[in-house]
Amino acid sequence: MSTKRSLHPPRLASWLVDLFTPYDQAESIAGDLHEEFVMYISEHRPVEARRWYWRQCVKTIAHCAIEALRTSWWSIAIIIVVCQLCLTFGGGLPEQAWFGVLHLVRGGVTPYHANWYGYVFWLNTCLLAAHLLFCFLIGWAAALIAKGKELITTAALCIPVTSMFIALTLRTAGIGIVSPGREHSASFFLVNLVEPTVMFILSGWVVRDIRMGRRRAHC
Amino acid sequence: MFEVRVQLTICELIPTYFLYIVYVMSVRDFLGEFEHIVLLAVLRLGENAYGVTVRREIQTRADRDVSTGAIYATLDRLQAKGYVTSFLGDPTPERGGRSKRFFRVSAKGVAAIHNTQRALKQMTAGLRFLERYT
Repeated sequence: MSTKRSLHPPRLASWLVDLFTPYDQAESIAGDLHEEFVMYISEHRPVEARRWYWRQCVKTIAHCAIEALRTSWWSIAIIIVVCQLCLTFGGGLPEQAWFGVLHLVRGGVTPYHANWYGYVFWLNTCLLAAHLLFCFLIGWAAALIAKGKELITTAALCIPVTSMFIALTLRTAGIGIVSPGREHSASFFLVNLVEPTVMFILSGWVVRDIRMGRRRAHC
Repeated sequence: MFEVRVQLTICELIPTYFLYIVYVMSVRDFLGEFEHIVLLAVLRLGENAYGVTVRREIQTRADRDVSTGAIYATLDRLQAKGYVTSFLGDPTPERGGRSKRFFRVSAKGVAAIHNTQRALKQMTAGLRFLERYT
């Protein structure tokens, strides 16, 4: 079973190449890498061949990403700016929407009056879900606009968020916010800055997968 | 006899006419260093120019280990400029059921190679690298 598995190129690497390469080149690039892997494995050990395949895939993805950023940097930059503005000015929308729903359903009466902790738990969970959905929708919109470069655009969308996260982490560590008894500040930053990153990548992957599926079905 | 003569005349004319097109079409088309290498590799490989063979040709002749992504990014750029054309071949089992994308150099591509090489020749004419600059 393991021998049979090792004769095939790593699936995860092939999947990543499929995701990051342009539509019209995805098939030929994946085919070329597969063909070279078959040639390489006949001359080397399977472990070496798999390592070589991974290296080639990473290099290929890096080249495709750099080329996409080089050729359409202005459109990607516009998408990043618009999405960041949406995140900044629309960041409070999920809370407003959720409290609006609560107000409408319960007629302004504080729900779960008898069980305050339960209320807080469900409120936080629903707010987190609303935030995740909001980030997913922004990523979805960005991926829809960036035709053929969905994952590269959504990954680029994470750059400001990630750099903000790193800067804030360094700052909080520097001024001592992350001190005993105040760990919640760090977790607050973690949730608020990591969740958009994950949701952007996820939305880019979903849009890309749907489009590739449609293209294959059409072919 | 007359027909044979006409055919010969046309055959003689074709290379001259082709060179004329090559010269007139684009005098200002120049290639980057890697574009030049990739285009020459495609030209050398002729009918069998696709990602794997182009990569191997560059590796063998230019002693440069380049990734498949770099080859395709350059070929895509060359195709956008009209220097190469491409078409898909049939899917094969050794490629996991995926098809090859074959590339051909267009007349504009040949003109670009010609211009670049002429410029290089003119720039290097009279320079004795080994004697004077090492």
